[in-house]
Amino acid sequence: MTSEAEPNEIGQELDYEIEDLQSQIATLKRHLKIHATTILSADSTRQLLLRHRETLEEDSLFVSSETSSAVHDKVLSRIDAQHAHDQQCLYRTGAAVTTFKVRDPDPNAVDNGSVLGLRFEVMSKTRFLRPYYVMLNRPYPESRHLRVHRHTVPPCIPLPGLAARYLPAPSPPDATHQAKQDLLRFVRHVRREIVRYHNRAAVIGDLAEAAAAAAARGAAGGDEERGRERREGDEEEGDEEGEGEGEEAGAGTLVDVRAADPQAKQVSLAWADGRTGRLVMDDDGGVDKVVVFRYDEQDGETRRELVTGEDRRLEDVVRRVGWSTKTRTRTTSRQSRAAS
Amino acid sequence: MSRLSVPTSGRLSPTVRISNSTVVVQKVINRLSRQALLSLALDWMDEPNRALCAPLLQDYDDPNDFYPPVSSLAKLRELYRDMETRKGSKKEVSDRILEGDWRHGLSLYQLAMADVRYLHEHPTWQKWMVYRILPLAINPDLDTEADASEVDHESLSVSRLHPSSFLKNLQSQVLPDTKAHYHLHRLPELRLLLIRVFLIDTPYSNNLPSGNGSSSADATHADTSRTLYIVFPDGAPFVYISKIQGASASSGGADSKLFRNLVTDSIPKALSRPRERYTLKYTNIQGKNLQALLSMKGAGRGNAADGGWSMYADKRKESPLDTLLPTPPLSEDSSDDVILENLKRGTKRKSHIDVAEEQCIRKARRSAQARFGNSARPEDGRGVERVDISMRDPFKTRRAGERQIAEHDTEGLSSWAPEVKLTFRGPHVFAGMRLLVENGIINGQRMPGWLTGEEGVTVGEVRHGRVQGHYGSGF
Repeated sequence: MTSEAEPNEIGQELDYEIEDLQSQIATLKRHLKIHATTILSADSTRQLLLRHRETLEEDSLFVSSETSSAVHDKVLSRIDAQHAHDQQCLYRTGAAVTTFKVRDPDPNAVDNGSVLGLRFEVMSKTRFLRPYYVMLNRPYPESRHLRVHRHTVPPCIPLPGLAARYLPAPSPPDATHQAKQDLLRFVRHVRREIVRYHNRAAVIGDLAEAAAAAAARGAAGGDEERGRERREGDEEEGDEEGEGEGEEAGAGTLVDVRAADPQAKQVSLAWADGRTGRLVMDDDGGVDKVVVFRYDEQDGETRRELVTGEDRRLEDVVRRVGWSTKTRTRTTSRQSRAAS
Repeated sequence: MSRLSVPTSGRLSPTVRISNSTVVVQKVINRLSRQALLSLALDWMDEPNRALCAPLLQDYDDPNDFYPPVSSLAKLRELYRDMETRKGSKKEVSDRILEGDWRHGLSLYQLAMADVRYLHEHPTWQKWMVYRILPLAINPDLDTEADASEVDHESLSVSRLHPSSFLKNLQSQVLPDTKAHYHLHRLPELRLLLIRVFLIDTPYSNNLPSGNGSSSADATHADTSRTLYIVFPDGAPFVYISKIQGASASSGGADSKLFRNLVTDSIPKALSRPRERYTLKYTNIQGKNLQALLSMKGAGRGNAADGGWSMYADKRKESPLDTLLPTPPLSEDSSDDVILENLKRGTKRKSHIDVAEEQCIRKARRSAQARFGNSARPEDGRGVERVDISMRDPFKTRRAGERQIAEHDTEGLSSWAPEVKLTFRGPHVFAGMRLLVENGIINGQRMPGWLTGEEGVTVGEVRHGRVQGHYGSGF
């Protein structure tokens, strides 16, 4: 038995070791690439190479000069490619929308397969996301009007509507009013919709995070309180107990915050004590409407807690959710202390 | 005995029981596997479902009873757990359920659960037709009827689904002499909402008789039932609608088509709200694989970027802050191990393989990569099983000795086009195409675009080498 088990163990160990080494190889390869890129993009490298090449050409008596100049050409072309790529990255970092040319691989493609690509950069949580692409071509005979050919914009962004507005199909030649296209406004509007969507989704994420943090804090506060009364009891219990402690404490920690529609304009809210709510945002993240229900009845109090007076942006709601629960737990603890 | 039956317009309650002798119940239960039946029975006894699927519990023992009822729920649960551990036939379990513990009939809720369980086991059971939800233009001056079919192409609104109000509105669209039961369900690992609609031709919504009292008339009511599935993908303005399934053989053909039209008419009405109206438009996509449909018409980026364009939609990281030169696919550094491995295997098999042939293979693979990108891999689970294409290309004509292609096909004598229809079938049509290109059987550079799946349709007409009506675009 043991003799059978041992090779297995050894084999497993070896497998682990191989896996480990392979991951090391991958990291080293990546490092190598990064260093190579750094060297290639340095200006001095290029100058050195050029000078070296001149000297090579001068003493062409060497046998190896031919192969060595071929290597030089390769490195130089690589440097050029690197420079082009660096410039593209720079443009992409600086400008939110960049264009590029694509060839449609379809042999039957219209307009000899030339396609204009638009690249929309999006940032979320201090990171560049994968850009969205919109490809345009010119399918109409005797007209230079553009048309959306392919795109990677998700359906929550009303691209068809925008295309119909700004990039209409050419009207027949005998029409009195010729349809005009406005690529610039199209691009601007698409980008605005994309960025707005991501901002709305991000602020809903912030609200969920604030609610979760407040709930955790509330549970911790409750725990401290209860700790004096009885030592046992985990956090979840603390949550439930908090709910039982009177109307004002509400214990109504938000337990569920999520976007309720594809465009991330509506937020559905759920509290621990069964209250449910719906919050409607306008395009730019301002709070449009809020409604909260408690047992099939409208709950104006909670609604006012969420949104009051002038602060009608979702960011304010986020702040208030984080802040109000803090004060609430404090009052709760005071109350329960008085009670005990 | 004088139970009052009043025609109502309400929906059927999930607790309404259907007699076990009906064809519907027999069909639904008998197609499930033994394992599924057992876990289903255990699910019925679980806390949230118990009220809607109560089993028969009795204390006394009837010696003539083949499946004597058990006295408590715990005992019953133990009985089914016991059956789970030992081997046996499916018949044993289904008989135990239908003639033993649920002999008084299965509730509509139970039936729905059983049906959905079958869909879990067989994800490609249903064939779906994909419809796009389009906003309608609202013109306050005109009568609502007159301007009903005007699609607002410039609208910026994206339809939103609120399941409970959708069902409420759908109910109001159902004909008064039919009753419906709705069941909402989320399939695991798929971002969609499944609605099962179960329709019975009866104006009454009270208990369909169970056990002894069952009259033949009521049994026929249950047997005229039809089941329909509606799928709403999350965050995307599309609806997938399944074929109507009748319980008996009689309900089929033209009748079910009529019924389907009725349903597709009522769905947009149920989705619409005051000042926000929608219509459905067929997208020329049919398929059985929900995963494939989701990638073609779902919430992601790939809706209008299939085939070779999918390289713009895949999950690769592409930050402008990354200054590393991107490696071209199929180069030495690229991580396309599978292809290289295949290449090596190929060389091993033929030891005398010459350089030219190897270059040929490489070229074919590269062109496949260019035309298909990372889509249409045999193992990606997004197979389309049938593609119908009808060719409308004008026939190539030869005039006066010189070869010339008739350009003006729309009018004139040379517009004769033979009727050619192509149907591709298989577990994954486009992956098959890709394999043919990779092996050099199809020339990747000259292959038309609709063979790569980039047009995003499964039914289409081709003219000038492009799917018609799209100017060469699936958008």
